Amino acid sequence: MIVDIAEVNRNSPYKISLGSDGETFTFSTDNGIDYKVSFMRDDSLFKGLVVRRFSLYSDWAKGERHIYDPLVRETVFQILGNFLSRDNQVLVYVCNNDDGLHRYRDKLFGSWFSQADKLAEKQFVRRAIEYSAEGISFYAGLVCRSDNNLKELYLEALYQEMQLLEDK
Amino acid sequence: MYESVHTKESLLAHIRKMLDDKAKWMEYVEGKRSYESLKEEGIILEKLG
Repeated sequence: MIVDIAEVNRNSPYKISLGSDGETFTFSTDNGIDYKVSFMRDDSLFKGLVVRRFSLYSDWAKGERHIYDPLVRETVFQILGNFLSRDNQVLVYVCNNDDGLHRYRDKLFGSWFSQADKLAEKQFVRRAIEYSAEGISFYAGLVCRSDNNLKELYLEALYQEMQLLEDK
Repeated sequence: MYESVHTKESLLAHIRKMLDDKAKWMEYVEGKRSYESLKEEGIILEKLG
């Protein structure tokens, strides 16, 4: 099991449950917004290193005013904390850009980590990437726990691969 | 010492695929695409439970 649901729900403000596919977590907020979380295995981004791609979805309707809910961050961080505590797991993410709001998503996700750093010991390491050229614009990043034994290897891999993007 | 497996082109192609896979995953969780079609596209979600 990649995440222990019972363990997450002991500390999570919103209780998560497993979707019928067995591969998606869901939770609902007090404002009636549903969130879904999945992880995809990716063993070809880095040579010889496996990462999981993290995806978060909400059914917050486009055009509706966003309601800030700090419990969403707490719930997502309970999931991430549980996931990343197992077997030196590392995740990568790329912000959805089909509606042009990828920069906003990246800033929001980054602010969650900044808040977490203020609240407790620095639990996570996050390296964010921003790129816009060659007909593609994306915001992405890598996240692991600060005590991950393979942290330096993954950060080196990220650095080496991202250096390629600097090439003209 | 880590050695890159990519060229700039293959890395950008991989990132484009990440975005494409994510868009398909979103269609799936929105109910616009079936679970089977996701698998047929080679998008494998981790078994969580």
